[in-house]
Amino acid sequence: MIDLIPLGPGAWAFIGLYLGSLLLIGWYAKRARQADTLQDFYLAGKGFGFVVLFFTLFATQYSGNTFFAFTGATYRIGYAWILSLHFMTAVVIAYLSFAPALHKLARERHYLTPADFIQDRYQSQALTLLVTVLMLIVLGNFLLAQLMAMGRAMQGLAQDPGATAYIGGVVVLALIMVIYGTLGGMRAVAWTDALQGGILAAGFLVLVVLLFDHFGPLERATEIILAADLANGTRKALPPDAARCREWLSYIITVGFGICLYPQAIQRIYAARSARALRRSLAVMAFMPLPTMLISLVAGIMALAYIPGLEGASADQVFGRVLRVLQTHSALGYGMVVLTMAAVLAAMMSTADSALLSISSMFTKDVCAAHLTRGAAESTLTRIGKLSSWCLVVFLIGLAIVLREKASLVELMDRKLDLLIQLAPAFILGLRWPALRAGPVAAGLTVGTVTALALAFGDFPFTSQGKVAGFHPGLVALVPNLLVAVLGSLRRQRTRLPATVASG
Amino acid sequence: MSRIAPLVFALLLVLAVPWYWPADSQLTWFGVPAWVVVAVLVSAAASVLTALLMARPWPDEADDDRD
Repeated sequence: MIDLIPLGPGAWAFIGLYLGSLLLIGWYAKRARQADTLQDFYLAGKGFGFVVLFFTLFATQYSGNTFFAFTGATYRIGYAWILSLHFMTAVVIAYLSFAPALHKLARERHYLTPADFIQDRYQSQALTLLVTVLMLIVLGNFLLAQLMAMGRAMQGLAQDPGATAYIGGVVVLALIMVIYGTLGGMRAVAWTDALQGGILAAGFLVLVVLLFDHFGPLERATEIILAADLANGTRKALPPDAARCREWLSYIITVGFGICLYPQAIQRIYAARSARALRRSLAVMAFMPLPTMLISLVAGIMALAYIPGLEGASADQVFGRVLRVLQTHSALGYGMVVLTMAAVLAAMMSTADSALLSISSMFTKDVCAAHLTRGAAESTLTRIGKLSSWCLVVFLIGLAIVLREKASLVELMDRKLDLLIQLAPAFILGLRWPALRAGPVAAGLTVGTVTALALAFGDFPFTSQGKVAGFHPGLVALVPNLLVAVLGSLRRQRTRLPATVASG
Repeated sequence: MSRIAPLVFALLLVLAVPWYWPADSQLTWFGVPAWVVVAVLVSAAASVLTALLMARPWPDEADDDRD
């Protein structure tokens, strides 16, 4: 739980105002609706310009993890967590490999969900269903993790270690999210993302000023950590060893290609008003890891130097400890903590609402419209989508409450990327290599998914925390996945060649 | 994407991971370990290259001028 000094009525009023403004935006987005269609509800009529697109991409990529898990990771491994700067930049570079072609196709073929591209490209219902199910499982896990994080954040704000604040936080925040999400769809989600992105940026900015004001320059913190390295044999300021370097490389590739294949990220590529708007948004996004990752790194380094002694799971809460120190620093510090906690809630909600909308769209279009309610009117499907959002949120609220003492957020997050990267051949290679075939892609995806899960959860002598020599299980599993997809497609190409020649 | 861009990104990837630093280096620049400064500079170079690539119109963009 976050260890804060209890907030006063002014602080609660500010947070209440922020949450109320989300509902207002949802209502306004509903009024801005142009048609009662799936395209309008789930992609805002594909009308996002540069500014909204930038903020919604930003809020989707940077979640509550940016504050808590990343500061905690810096505390655990030291300066080597600068690798987060690289993997967040890699996400934008990875977009370059497929966003231009995918955006063009999406406009021409009116894609709504990621599975629309898969069906259009491979003409295989089996592969489409496989991709849809995998994405739904990943996003379901992801959404559950965000709801649980919201509950824990509310526990910290209320300073209530019991279940009341946790349950209240999960229920209230999830309900607010589903209300504005079902009122205004993607338009509401993106507009609230813009507000949440603004609060996030302001929170980061004030945080860095207060960190230096309270703890002093980085030079002194570095000297303390270096001295501890030399005394204890650790490598938190010294250059990382070979194992950490391999893990570093693995993070860059796994996170880079994993995050850009979030279904909600793919749908934002579809929702761009034009290629120019998407290009400009991604160009600015390329620079966002610098301020955001460096600030969470600085917070972790300051904590490592001046708040030593946290071990294991407690290290994940080090950001809360930093906030408490700053809260007692001055009136400005207290205000900053309120703003930062609002930013944390904003980051969690903006990530969760995107995931919720994405799940709802995939369930409605790829499951209901394709298999259960064929021929239904768009307005009926939109209602089904809204209803499915409510049902899912109610189910996940229950699950988040039941699992509140059990599931580890970090484990859930790690497995998500291990699974998402298995989709890289289907999407990225599929856009670039016409010879890639559905059967081998489906076989490769199955092999990759099973291998990644086996490595992650199995007990093998050659793995450590699921990693093989420092490489993520998802990245290791991508090798057989790619081999099956590519070699299988080449084999089919060769066996078909004589028939083609004969017919010519 | 420009043809040499993937090669430049690969080179930046090689430089980004500090495998080539002496294990006992205590060199600091601007108050932080020198290898960290290099990692930040490499990341900044990757961001600039990405932004430059995004500044160029994509194929068939002329048909798509609603922005």
